Amino acid sequence: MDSKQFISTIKTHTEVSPDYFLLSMELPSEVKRPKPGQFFMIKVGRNNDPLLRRPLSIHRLISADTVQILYRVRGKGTRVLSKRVLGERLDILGPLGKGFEIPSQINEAILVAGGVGIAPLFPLAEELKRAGKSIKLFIGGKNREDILCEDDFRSLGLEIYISTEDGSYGKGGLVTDILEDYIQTPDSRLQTQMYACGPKLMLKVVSEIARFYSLPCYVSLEERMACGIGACLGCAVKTRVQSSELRVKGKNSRLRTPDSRLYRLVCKDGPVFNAEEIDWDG
Amino acid sequence: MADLKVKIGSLVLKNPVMVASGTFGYGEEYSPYIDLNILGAIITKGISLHPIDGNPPPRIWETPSGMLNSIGLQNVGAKAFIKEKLSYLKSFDTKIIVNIFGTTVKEYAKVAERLFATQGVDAIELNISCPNVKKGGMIFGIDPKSTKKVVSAVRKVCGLPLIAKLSPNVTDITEFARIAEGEGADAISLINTLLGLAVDVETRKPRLATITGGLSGPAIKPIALRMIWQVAKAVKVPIIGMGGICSTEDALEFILAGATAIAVGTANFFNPNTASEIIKGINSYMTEKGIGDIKELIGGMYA
Repeated sequence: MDSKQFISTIKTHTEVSPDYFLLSMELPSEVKRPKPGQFFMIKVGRNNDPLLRRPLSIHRLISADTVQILYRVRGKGTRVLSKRVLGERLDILGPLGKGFEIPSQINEAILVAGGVGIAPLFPLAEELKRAGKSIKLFIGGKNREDILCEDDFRSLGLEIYISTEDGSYGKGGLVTDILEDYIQTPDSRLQTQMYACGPKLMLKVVSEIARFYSLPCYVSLEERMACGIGACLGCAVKTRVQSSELRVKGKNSRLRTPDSRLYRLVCKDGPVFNAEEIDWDG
Repeated sequence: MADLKVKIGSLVLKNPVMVASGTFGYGEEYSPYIDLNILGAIITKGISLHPIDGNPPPRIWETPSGMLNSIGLQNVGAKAFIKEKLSYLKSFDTKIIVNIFGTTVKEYAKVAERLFATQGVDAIELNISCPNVKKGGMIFGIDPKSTKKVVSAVRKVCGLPLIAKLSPNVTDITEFARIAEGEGADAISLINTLLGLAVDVETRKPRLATITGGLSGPAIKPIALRMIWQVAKAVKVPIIGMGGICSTEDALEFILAGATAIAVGTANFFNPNTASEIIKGINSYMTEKGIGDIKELIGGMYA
């Protein structure tokens, strides 16, 4: 097994935009280097309140022994985490989950981020760059303050398209609109792989666009988790795929969900899924 | 070293610390984080005759010092459990207690029969207390007649030590404990989760897809302790205590209130090492107090 429980010391912790925090912490040498798209389960407080760890995706490996988490304060857990300071120690499980795959045959990658969904896309962009792929990045947010890491991505030399819902930065409107404008233009397509991370509604529309233009698409999903390691079965996501190994013919249909679809776990089967697998209305 | 051995029916555990059903998967999920060999026993996720997909999401919601869940008894089914999960679990030096359930008395008996015929199962825990499924589970644990029927039917077909896991969602838990004992249960596990609810005031929707769910974690500990104390006075069979245990002190409270063994549940989710810490902690406590045998502590509360 590749995941561990470990203690990490906070190196820096700063609010990079209102409610968005960048946390740099030590990555002990015995911990496996995370892959793009993987996450940590972080004990955010010092006691049992909040009770559960919080799943946070890994943003950047900035040196051999320093890893960064970029997160947005959304509720109690992330609020408590945002108060932790330099030198404090965090109890962490990880790295966890299946990360992004880079199919060898692709020559173009389209990355789509909504708000803090940008976090796991940076290490992905780095790896795509190393693999010599052409990269286009679409970032969307409600306003200018939701557009993060633009300079970091620019330094990788990729093409960036930005939209904000209030038009305060980039093009006004939704990121899925500028995405579709791009995909419609004739010189994109063929050996393209899409990757998306952001709010579920955005992912649903990105998946519909991908399907319409017959482009393969990976999505990174979020769900509430208790354990992060596949034991609690709390982070179920409904899929369109039926797995024959879990199907038995017979009389037990009373115990099945009415439509007999299968659930996968975001923590273990994901958080990255093929968009075609997901039942977005589930 | 203090003597931590305890007996649950004919089953001897090297120590009284187990991990509770539904909070430890099939064991394999936790092996990177805790040495399974040190555990008194592993109680597996509930197993039914056939695989079950479980409930739609959202399935969990954190509450103050606790969590609500409505997983819906998702499991791989008896066949896959025996073939894939049990063969792995058998390789460890710990006892394997399989939690089972069904939608009918017949189904309960069938699963029990199947597991009785399987090598490597040390005991059966009868789940008559899951609040998250419409049929089966708690239905059998909140009606005295159904409890009687299902314990009796399983007892007839299963020669393994039989543990009845009771629901706290009843007026008088001692009534159900007495029935289980009367029908031949070798031990009583308590408590399962308490039925609860949480609401999103922005959307006015319940936090869980199934509306209600089972509350677990430190929030329910005093209720669990009270019920264990009540049941310990009502029956002679040993009690496996659970409900919010996170630390050595919690575990000792349960033992002093009357539990012969304890199980760590929700704490596994946020600290996979909890059971290990408790085993060490009980040892130090006994050494410090000059107690040689854990049996001296069971039901040892001065009241």
